[in-house]
Formats: sequence, C-alpha cells, structure tokens
Amino acid sequence: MSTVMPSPSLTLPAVRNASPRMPISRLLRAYWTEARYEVLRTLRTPAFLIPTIALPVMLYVFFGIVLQGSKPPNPQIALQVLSGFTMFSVIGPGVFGLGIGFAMERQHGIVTLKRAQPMPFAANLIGKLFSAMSISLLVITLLLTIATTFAHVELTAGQAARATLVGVLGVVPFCALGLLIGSLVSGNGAPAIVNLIFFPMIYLSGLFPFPLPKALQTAAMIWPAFHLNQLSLAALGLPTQLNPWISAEVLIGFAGVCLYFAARRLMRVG
Amino acid sequence: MYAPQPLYPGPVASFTGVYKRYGNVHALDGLDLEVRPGELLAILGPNGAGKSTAISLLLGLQEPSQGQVAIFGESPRMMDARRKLGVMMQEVTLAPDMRVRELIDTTSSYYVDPMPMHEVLDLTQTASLANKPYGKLSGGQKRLSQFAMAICGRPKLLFLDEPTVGLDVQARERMWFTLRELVKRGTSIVLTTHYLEEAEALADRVVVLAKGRVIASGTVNEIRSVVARKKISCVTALEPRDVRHWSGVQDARRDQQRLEITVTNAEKIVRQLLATDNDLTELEVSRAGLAEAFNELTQETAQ
Repeated sequence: MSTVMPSPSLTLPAVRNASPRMPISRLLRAYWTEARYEVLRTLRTPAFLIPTIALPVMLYVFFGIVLQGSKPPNPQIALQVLSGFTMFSVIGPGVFGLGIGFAMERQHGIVTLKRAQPMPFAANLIGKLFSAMSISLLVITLLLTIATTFAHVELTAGQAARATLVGVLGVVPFCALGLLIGSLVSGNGAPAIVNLIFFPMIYLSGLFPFPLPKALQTAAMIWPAFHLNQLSLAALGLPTQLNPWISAEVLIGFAGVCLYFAARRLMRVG
Repeated sequence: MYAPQPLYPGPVASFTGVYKRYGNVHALDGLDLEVRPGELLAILGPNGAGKSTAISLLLGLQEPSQGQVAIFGESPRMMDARRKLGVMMQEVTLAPDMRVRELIDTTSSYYVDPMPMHEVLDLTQTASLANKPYGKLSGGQKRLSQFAMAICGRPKLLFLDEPTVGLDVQARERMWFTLRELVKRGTSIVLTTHYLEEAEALADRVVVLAKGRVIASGTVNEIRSVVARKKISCVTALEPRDVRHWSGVQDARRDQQRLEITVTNAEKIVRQLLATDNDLTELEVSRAGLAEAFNELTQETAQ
C-alpha cells in the first residue's frame, strides 16, 4: 500500500475554496454590533451628549418661547424658528461625532487596528453615522414635542414626520464633513477645527432667528446648513428661497465631495 | 478541548523578494520569509531592522514596493484571508468607556465562527475583567484584553507585536501558557519581541532581521550555535592576564573570586586550565545565550 502525498500546488486552491464564507447574517450582525456599541458609547459620554442635546433645546426654549412672551406667535415665523433649531440640532452630532470621534480613533491606532482586523467595509463609520442619526432623532423629537406643547406651534402629523425625516437624513452630509475633518487632523486638533467650522456655518447660513446683514444673505447659500434648512422649510410647507430639489442636489454633491477627499486621504495615510 | 485544526498545506504567510522603500530608505531589502503551518515564529531584530514594516505588509496596511506578500496564498488585503488572522498591535488605545466584554464582542462579530465569549475569557483568564471599562484597567490588563480580542475569532494565524510588554511575571506566564495551548490547537503564531527569553521559551523557530533582510533563521538552539563562543567560569588562583594570551581565548575577566573566560574552543581551554591550576574548583561551561548570539549577529551586520 502506498501513500501519496498531494502536492501543495494541487491542494492549495481546494483549501482556499473550502474556507468558510461569511454568511450575510453574520455580516449584518457585524454592522449592527458596531452601530449598537457606537450608540452606547455616545450615551456614556455626557461631555458629547449634553452639548448636542441640551444646547439646541436651551436655545430653542430661549428664542422660541421666552423671547416670544405671551402673545400668540405668527404661525409662519414660529415654524421657521423651529425649522432653524431642528436643523441646528442635527448638524452637531454629525460634525462633532464624526469629526472629533474619528480623529481620536485615528490618533489612538484604533482605525489601523480595525483595518488589520477583518472589519467589514466601513462598519465603524456606518456605526458612527447610525449613532449620529439616533441622537438626531432624539433631539428632533424633543424639539417638536416642546414646540407643540409649550411654544403654541401647530404641526400636522405629516409635517412632523417629514421634518423628522429631513433631519435624520440630513445628518449624512454633515457626517461626511466630519469624516473629512477627522481624516485630516489629529484627535487633539479636531475640536478646535470643528468649532471653527461649526459655529460660523450655523450663523452664516441663517439658521438662527435673527436676520443676517444684507451682504451675507446671498452668501448664506454657500453653506450646506443653509440647504438643509431649505429642505426642512419645504418639509414643513413653508416658502423657500431655492427650489428644494436644488438644495437636495447640493447636499448630495457636498457629501460626495467630502467622502471623496476623505477616502483619498485615508488611502494615502491611513 | 478542540481537535487541532486541519493544517494549511502551504506556508500560512510568505514574503517573496519583498522590497519596501520610503524615499531613499530601504526598510525592507529583499526579504524572503515563510511562516509554516502550526509553528510559533519569533521575529527578532534591532530597532530599524524592518520588523514593523514587515508586519504592516503582512497585515495589508501597506503595499510592498516590489515582491509579494501573501497570507494563506492570498493578498493580505483580501477579506477572506484576513478573516483567518488575529492581531494584537502595539500602541493602540482602545475606547476607555467600552467594557472588555463589549470590545471582544465587537471583534468577534467580524469573524465567521468566533469562540463563545466564556471560552475567550477562560482561555485568556480575563473573566474578572469582562465587565470593567477598558480605561480603568492597568497596563497589563489592557494587554490581556487586547490579547483576548486577537484570539476570539479562532484565527489560523495569530500575529502578536510585543505581546507581553507591561505584563507582570504571572500574567506573562499565563499568556505563554495560552500561546502554547493555541499552537497545540493548530494555530500558527508570529510574534515580535524584545524579550529574548520569550523567544527562548516559546519559539519553534527564530528569525533575526537586520537592515531589512533575514540574517539568521532556525531553532533557538541553531541560532545559538551560530555563535561558537562559550563561557567558562571557575574559582582559580589564575589571573585574567595569565590566560588572555592563550590561543582560543577571546576575553577574560575577574568577577569577585571567579574567573570568567569567553572562548571559541571550550574543551581545549578547560584541559589547559586544569593542567595549570590543580586547585581549580567550581568549573562551569555554558553556551552563549540567545542574547549573546543576537548581539553578535546584529553587530556583524552593522559592520
């Protein structure tokens, strides 16, 4: 009886094919696990949670209720104020969450570790996006509840649903901006850079209920936050300065450009 | 206990004529290296030898300038290949607010057939850390948690970069025990280490890198025997200057009552010593350790 050893070159492909493929269910579970823990981490970080939730709520209470006094509000202005603050509230989680969070993870070697591990494509980033969307949903719900309960704002269910949808989807381009910042700067530098972009953008895009100087009004259109607010106004059935479809295209294009440059940077330097 | 996993017939990882240049710096200069199935391979080398570069090519973090790097016959960038890989890196600061159990759970989710959580915790003896936030752990506990993350996916090739830095003696022994256990189960392990005794204790094979290429490869004993020198130590009235001129003596010095002699031909010198000093006692002959071999090898390359 003779024993024949198969030559490695013959058995190699067989063994490779025999390696178990990742079932779709496990792949989805990996994305879900990343997302779930990302939300959990956010909830465990009051330093992030309080400013992103408390700040829009406080500002809205001040401008939407306290300044309003007891006189019944002009319904259209009340909705405009509400729109501005809900959109303000969804930009923060995206820009801060991804901008600072991702820059930190890059600095701490976590991004490199996950690239070496078999993490499914972009699972960490999709987890962060999901977390930012969850936080946004929470703040929008809070703001809409305050608006209808205390600020005498009348909303139909359809208006509320459309405004919420715009807000939650509106997180995407600002997460893309956050990712771009996070891929360019270190974790220590990220908070300064994010603040430097965030606050001027919020003011200059006319989200706050005080009129911009004339010269800046047209320039507001260069900011993505302006276009998000246009979509939100349209969702609430208010007049807009631009065709909302144009604003939607601007936001999609903006997100695409941010993602392109972030991906290019990450492929070069990791 | 698990039966050993079926062995992969070819090398589990290979470098074939790999060059990696950063500008004018040749980090890898024609590296040829294979990791065989089921072996524990220790990669040694001084700083700047190309260890880190070799590692990042193996993990698919960088591309070689020239040559081929493969794990399980595939590019390290292929997800199917990386799913057979477990990784423990240096200089990683994991999220401080995540609990150890959650970190392991996240990593487990990337693999096709990960170990159940209790098995990971048992095998790495981290059960007592499972519910603690990562940021509250000691340096050694952090390393153990990262080790648990590295093995939780039942990797066929486990890559560990300086795994026991910062561990106390007990924790290090425990990790060594686990590594031996994993080798028994059929896992191939590549580790880099600064602790030569770690390589001596664990490695089936040692590879010494210098200036981006392999300068020596073999079992610990083979590497040690590359260096022919031996040490003779004895209590004698002879002084270093009496023996220094003997042929085959490389160095002689006095260490309190003992005379320490480094020689190339121990038997000849021992005969000569015994003939010269009848009162000589406590004679010891020892082979150069891995540390001496390593120093000599890397110094030769540097010259």
